[in-house]
Amino acid sequence: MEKHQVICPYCGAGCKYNLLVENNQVIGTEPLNGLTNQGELCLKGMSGYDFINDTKILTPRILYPMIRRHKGAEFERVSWDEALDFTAKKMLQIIEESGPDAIMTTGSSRGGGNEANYVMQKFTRACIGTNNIDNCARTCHGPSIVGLMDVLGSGCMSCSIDGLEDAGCIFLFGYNPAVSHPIVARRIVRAKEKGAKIIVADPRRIETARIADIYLQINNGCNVAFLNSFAYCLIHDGLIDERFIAEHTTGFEEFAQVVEGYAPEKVAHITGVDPEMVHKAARMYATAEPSAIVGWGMGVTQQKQGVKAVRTLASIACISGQIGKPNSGVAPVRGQNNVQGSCDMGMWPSLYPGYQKVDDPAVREKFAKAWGLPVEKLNPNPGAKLTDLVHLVKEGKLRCFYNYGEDPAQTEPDAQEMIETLKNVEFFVCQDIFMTQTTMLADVLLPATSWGEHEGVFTASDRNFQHFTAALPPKGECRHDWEIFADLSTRMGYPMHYENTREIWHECISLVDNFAGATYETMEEQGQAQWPIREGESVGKRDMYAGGVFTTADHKAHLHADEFVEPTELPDEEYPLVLCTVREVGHYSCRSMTGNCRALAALADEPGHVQMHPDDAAARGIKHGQIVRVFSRRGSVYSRAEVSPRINKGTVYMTYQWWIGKCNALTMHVTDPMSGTPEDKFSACQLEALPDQVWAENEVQRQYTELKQELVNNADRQDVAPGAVAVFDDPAHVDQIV
Amino acid sequence: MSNKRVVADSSRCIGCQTCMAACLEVHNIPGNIAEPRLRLTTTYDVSAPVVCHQCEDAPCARACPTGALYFDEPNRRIGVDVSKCIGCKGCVMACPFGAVRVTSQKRPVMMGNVQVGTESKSFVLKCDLCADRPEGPACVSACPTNSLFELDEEALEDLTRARELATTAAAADLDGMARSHAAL
Repeated sequence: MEKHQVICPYCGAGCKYNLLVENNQVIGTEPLNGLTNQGELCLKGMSGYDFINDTKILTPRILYPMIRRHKGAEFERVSWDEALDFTAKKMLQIIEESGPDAIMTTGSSRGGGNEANYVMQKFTRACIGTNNIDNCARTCHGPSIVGLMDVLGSGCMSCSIDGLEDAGCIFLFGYNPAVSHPIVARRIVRAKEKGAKIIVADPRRIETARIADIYLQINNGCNVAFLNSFAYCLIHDGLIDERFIAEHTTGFEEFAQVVEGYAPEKVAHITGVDPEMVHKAARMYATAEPSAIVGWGMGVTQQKQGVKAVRTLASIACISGQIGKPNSGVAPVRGQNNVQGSCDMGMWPSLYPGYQKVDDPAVREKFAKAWGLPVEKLNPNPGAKLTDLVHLVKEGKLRCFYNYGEDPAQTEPDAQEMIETLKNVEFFVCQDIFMTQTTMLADVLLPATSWGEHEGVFTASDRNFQHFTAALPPKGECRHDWEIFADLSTRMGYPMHYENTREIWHECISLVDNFAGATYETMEEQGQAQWPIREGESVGKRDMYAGGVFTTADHKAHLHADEFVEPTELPDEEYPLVLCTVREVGHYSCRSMTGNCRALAALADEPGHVQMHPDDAAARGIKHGQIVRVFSRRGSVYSRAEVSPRINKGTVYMTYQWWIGKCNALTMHVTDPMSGTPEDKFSACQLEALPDQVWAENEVQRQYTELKQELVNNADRQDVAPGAVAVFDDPAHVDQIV
Repeated sequence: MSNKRVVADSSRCIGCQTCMAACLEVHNIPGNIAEPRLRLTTTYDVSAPVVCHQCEDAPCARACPTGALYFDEPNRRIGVDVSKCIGCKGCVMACPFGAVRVTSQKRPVMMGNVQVGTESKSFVLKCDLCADRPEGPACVSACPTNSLFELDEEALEDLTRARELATTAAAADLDGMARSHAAL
C-alpha cells in the first residue's frame, strides 16, 4: 500500500492526511498531524476520496476531450490537438471581432490548486487581454474581501484557525461551523473547554448555540440593523477602546452618528432580540481577555447588504480594541478548500495575484515586465464579475465563457436562468473532472486531472499555504489544468511553458512580496507557510495588524457604518415563508465529488431536506420525513421535510447540494451591488404537502434517474474514439451502419 | 465482566455525523449492510448519536427468535449475525432506546448462473462494537471532537469511584449541619 500526503479538497480548514493507494485505486485515508486538524478529520475528509476512482455513483468522470462542432450538435471525442486548435481559433476570432472583453474566464477554488489558477489568470490577462476573471468567492465571501479591504486593508482572516481556541471570547455571527467546517467547530468546542465565552447570533439554533454563553436568535435579514445596535451598545455602555480608535482608526465620528439611531430597544422589532441581551453580548465581547474573535460565514455575505455588514463587523473589532493582538480580530472562515487561494492568485476582476490592483500603473508595469509584454497589452480596467454573466450574455456583450471547475447550473441563483445563459453563450468552454449539469452544456469539454492526480499548493482559510502531492497518475487522456492553459495560450500566440508546479509557484511568489518566503522548500520544512511571509522568512504571521498597524494606504482602519435596508423579496400572502440556503455537512458544493463517494452518498442522497419549524409543518399538514413541494416565483422542486424545533418559525432552510431538490431553482438573482454576491439567504417561498407519498417518492426517483442517465449519455460519447466518430457521423457511411 | 458500550458526551458533539460515516464504512463489506448502526439525533438542546447500550439483560436478544441477536460473552457485547435475521422486528419493539433497526434489501435469486428473480432479505442493524476491529469501534476513532468513548467495566468503575469521591468531598460542606439543625 502506498501513502501520499494531501490537503483536503473540501472546506477551507486545510486538513492534512494521507491517501492510501492500492492497485491504482484510492482505498482510504489516514489523518495526519496537520496544523489545523491535529490528526482529526470530519466525514468528508475521512470518506470523501473514492470519487477519484470514477465510481459513477452520481456522474462519470470526463477522461477524453470532446467538442460540439456547432451549437446543438452531439459531443464528439477529438484529439487534444483538435480540441485546443478548435478552441484557440474560436477565441481568437471572438477577440478579433469583439475585443478581449467579450470573453470571461472563471477559476476553480477546489482541487486544481494555486498554480493552475495563477496560469489561468496569466492566460486571461496576458494572452486574451481582459480582466474578466472571477471565482466562486463571488458567490460566497466576496463581500468579506471587498469590505475588509475597505476597512482593514486585507480581505482575509486576521487570526489563525488553531488560534481560535486561545481567544477569550468567540462571537459567531451568521456562521454554522459544525456544518461548514467541523474541524473549525472542534476548535470552538476546545475554546469553550479552555474557558472562552461563546456568543452566537443566528436565526437557527445551530450546534454552537447549544454551547453558547449568549445565544441571540436574530431575525433573518436583520444583519446591518443588529450590528449597528451592537456597536451602539459598545459606544453607549463605555466599552470602546478610545486610545485604539484615536491612534489606529479614521471615521469614528461618522460611524457613531450612523449607529446612534440603532439602540437595541429601538430596533428590537427588526432584530427580534431582547435588547438587554444585546447589551450583555456587547459587554462580553468587548471585555473579553486576552482577546476576542468575531467569526462569520454566508449568513453575513449572501445578503443584500453583505459588504456593509462586513464593514460594520470589522469596525466593531476595531472600536472595541479586539484586533491587532494575538488570536483576535476577524475570522471570515472561507468555504471551499482553495477559495482563499484563488483570490490570492488574482482570480478577481480588479486584482492581480497578491491583491495588487489592476488599475495601478506600477503594478501593471511589474507584471508586464515579468510576463514579457508591452505594458499596453495589460488591460487597465477592472473586469466583469461572475454574477454579470447572465446580463452580459443577454446583451450580446459576452460571447465566450471559459469555465474552469465551476458548476454554476447548480450553485448560482435562479438556476433556470443560468442554464439558459450557458446554452445561449456563443462559445462555452468547460474544463472539469466530471460530467455535470454545467459541463454537459459545453461546446468544448477539456478533461483535467483530479485532486489526487496532481500536485500543487492550496491556501487554507487562515492564509496558510500547504503543498499537496499526487497519489495516482492521470486517467485516460486527462491533463493537468496548468498544462492545458499553457498549451492553449501558446496556440493563441502567447507562448507559455512550465516544467512543473514548482516553477509556476516560484514565478508567482516572486511577484508578490507577501508570498515571497513561501517556497516549496519552506513548506516542506515547516509543513506550511502562512502569508504575509516575506522573502527569506521561514515563518509567516499567524496574526495580522500587530499593534494596530493596518494594511490600508495610511495604515489605519477606516470605520464604516451604514443604514439598514430591508431584504429584496419580503414574504407575502402567496409566498409567506423566507427561504434561506445553507450547507450539507456530508456533501460539498455542487456535490459532483462527494456524490460519487460511496459512504457519503449512502449517508445522504436526493432530494435532500427542507428544514422547518414544527408549527410551519403542522399548519400545512406536513410530517417529518415526507416529500413536499417547495416553490417560489422562480420555480418548484421536491424536497424531504425535516421538522425541528431548532428552526425559527417562518423560515425554511434548504441545502444547495441537491440536483433534484435544487434550492437554486427557487432563489432569486439579486446581488449586493457592492460585491455582486447573490442574496441567497433571503427570498420568499411556499411549501405544500403531497398527499400521495408513494407517487412523490417515485417521482423524485424518476427525475433523479433521468438526470443521471442524461449525464451518462453525454459522457458515453467519450468512449467512441475519434476515428470511429468520423465514420458514424459521416452521412456517406450511414448505409453501412444501417 | 459486564458488557462494553459506546457512549457519547453530548457537550462535545457537533452533530457532524462523522461517527455515522465511519460506521457505514466499516460495514461496507460483502455480506454486510452499508448503513450506520448509530444515528445522530437532535432535540432542541441536545445532539448525540443514539447507539446500542449492550444491555446485560438485553431485551432485544431475548426477543430474537433466531439468534440474529445473541449474548456474545467473549466479546462482551450483544452480538449480531445478520444472516439469521427474519425481519420480525421484535428487537426493534423491545429496545427501550431506539437503538435497533431492521432494514430489508432486495437480492437476486439465482439458479446456477441465471437470475430468476429477486427476493427480499431482512437485516438487523445494531452496534456490533466493531468486534473484528483490533482498534475498537470505528466511530470512537473517527469522532473529531473526541465526544465518543468506549465504556468498559474498568472505565465505569473509575467513573463511579470519582463520583463517590466527589460526593464524599461535598459532604464536608454539610459537616456540623446535623448538629445545628438539631439545635434549632
